[in-house]
Amino acid sequence: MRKFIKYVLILILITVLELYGFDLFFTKVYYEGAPRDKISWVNSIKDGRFDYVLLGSSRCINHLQPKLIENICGKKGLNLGYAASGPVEIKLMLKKVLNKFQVDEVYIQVDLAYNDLKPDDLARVVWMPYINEEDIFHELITYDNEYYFYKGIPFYRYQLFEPKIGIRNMSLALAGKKATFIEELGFSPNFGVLKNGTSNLKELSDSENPIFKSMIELCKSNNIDLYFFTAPIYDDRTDFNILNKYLPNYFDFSDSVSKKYLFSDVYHLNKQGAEYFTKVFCQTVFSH
Amino acid sequence: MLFNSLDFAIFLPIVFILYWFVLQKSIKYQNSLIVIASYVFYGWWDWRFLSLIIFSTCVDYFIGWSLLKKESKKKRKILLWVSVLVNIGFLGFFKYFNFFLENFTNAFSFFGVELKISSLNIILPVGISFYTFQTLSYTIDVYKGKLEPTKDFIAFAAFVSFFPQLVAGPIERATNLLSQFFKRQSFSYANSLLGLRQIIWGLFKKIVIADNCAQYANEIFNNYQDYSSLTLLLGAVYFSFQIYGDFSGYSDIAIGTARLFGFKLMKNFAYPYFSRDIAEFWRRWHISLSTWFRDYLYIPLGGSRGDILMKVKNVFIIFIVSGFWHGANWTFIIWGALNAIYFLPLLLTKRNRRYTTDTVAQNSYLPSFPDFLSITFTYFLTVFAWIFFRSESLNKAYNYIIGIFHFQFEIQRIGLERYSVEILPLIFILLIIEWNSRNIEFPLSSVKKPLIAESLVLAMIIVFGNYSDIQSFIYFQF
Repeated sequence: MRKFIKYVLILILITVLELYGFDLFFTKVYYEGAPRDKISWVNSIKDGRFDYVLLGSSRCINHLQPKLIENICGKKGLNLGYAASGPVEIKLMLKKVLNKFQVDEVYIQVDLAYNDLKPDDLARVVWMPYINEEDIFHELITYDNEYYFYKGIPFYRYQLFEPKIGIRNMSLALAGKKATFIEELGFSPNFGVLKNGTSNLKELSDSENPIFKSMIELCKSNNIDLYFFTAPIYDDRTDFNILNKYLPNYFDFSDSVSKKYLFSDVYHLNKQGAEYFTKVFCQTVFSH
Repeated sequence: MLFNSLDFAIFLPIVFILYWFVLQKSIKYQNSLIVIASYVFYGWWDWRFLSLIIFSTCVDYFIGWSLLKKESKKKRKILLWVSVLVNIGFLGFFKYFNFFLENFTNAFSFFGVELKISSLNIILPVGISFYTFQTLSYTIDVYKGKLEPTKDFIAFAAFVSFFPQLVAGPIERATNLLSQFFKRQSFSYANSLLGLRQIIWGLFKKIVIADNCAQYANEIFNNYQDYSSLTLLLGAVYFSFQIYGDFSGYSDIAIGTARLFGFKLMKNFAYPYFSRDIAEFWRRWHISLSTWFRDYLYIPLGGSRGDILMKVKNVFIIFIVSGFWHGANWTFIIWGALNAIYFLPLLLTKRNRRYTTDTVAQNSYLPSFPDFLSITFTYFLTVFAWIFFRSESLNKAYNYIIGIFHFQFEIQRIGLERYSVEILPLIFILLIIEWNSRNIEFPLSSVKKPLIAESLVLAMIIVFGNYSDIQSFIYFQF
């Protein structure tokens, strides 16, 4: 009987060691394999001198085309927005950018997500392979103790968030299949044309978000010009003026595009709309 | 309680330690623990339905006991019928009441008579089809004089409710399992290791194969109108591996768990997808149910004796009843009938017992070309039948099949991100492992470095397993 229990314990131990091995392997692939997300892309860029970077959610990645900006204004930059990214994820990306690149200006897309105070359930997932980095872990652990488990239990994070960072995504990174946004310097278009719909955003609450406050201080201490903007929304009636109170250099573009055929849905422009908005953005922001 | 749940991962070691460390000296205590643990295991799902198991246990215990005392043939027959009516009555009420009611009212409305009878909101007790058949076999065997009725109520209750196989089999015979409750179990290291290995292999089939295939099969079957012929064909193939991984995985976990307590349950699956004809398939698929129907229905009906009409009738009866056993829906009946149609030519040409002893490619690694063709043909016959089994209605099954014959061979995305073919490598891995193990009971039962192999399989369960939505076992609904 004791022999059997000993056997089971050894079996568990070997399995845990194997999982450590898998964990190390997956993490290594995310660092050294083909970039499949914005973080691994940033990690992979060797020459990091840029005039600007754009941060935010899908309303950043789908709306601004760095190649077009370079053609129009001659400014070299990257679009580092990604889907569902909120204040916490934007701050993580900002820190990463400051550690890795030399940047003159940072532009952050804000909207109602300004009020969010916790990591976004979807957007935080892409940070999980990199959670062993002290900066990232230190930032995330302030929101929830669960990050101790993600860091400490071998392979736990890869299994829990399998659809985003599991075996499939890792295999594609290992096979060298890069994300398509790389060709477009981080821009990824939306397709289709909005048929019906109006925005149903709620009101912004009139309170300062400490995460944004810390980002402002971080840029200040690094002598980086920080700008905020709100990307176009179809038929929106939200008052974004409150953001002027808390954010320096804020540009409200929420009603800058009104034509329906330029939207793919209420909150996202399509490819044609993105081209239009990029031009508006260049004329307004970069000539400021 | 699901085998693939945290609850069971805590429950099993507790029962194991109590069984071997605390109660090992008394068979009565050990059996009592099995009964209590089994009732906790079952009650975890819905404690109210425990009353059915307890009632069924009491009825068959007392009928068995009374059969011994009664010598009159007529009285013995009455007792047998009481048992049959109670067990089949439970099954009929909980599983088939609404089906018969619906078909009854439909039949009347066909002749212009509108009956206003509303169906009942009945919950199907988990595993009712399994334990009713198990207790029924006890009474029938006692009636036929094949088995001495037991006086030991605790042992009998443990036999009826034995938690490893209570809710989805294997459907045990009293002649095999009940007798094992009469002798005190002593711990066997080798047996427990074998049990552990079988549990691990069962979990692999369930969590890695069945649950991954389920994700694809569910999406394709639920939205079959949106998919190409190739995707629909893949959907049916995925379902065939989902149901195999799910049910044979459950059986492996059940048999392995029983082994941990010193019990030997009957084999339920023997690499069925390597069968060379449908008769062999049915000797390798859900063996405990097939043999139950063979012994308690097919042979009493006359089996393969008699004239052609009799043979045809018996084959159709056994396959249709088997289909109906799976669920109260015409889709299961058609599934059963299709299998009868597949089987009949073999029976009538006396080729149904060609492959009773040997395994395919016994003296070579690869099958001969004719064997390969036979295996492929048999597999796709079963896949075709599974479409009826999986579909919610005959109309949907028909449309699904029509969709396959549109001959569009585009590889499509399933849902937003994944391609329909992405899961094929996992199925391929399973087939390779099973092919290499086709002459042994299960793949981990005889490996050179077991500790490494087991730990690798465990790691694969974690790395490749699908935990996005813990899936219940398909056969719980039967």
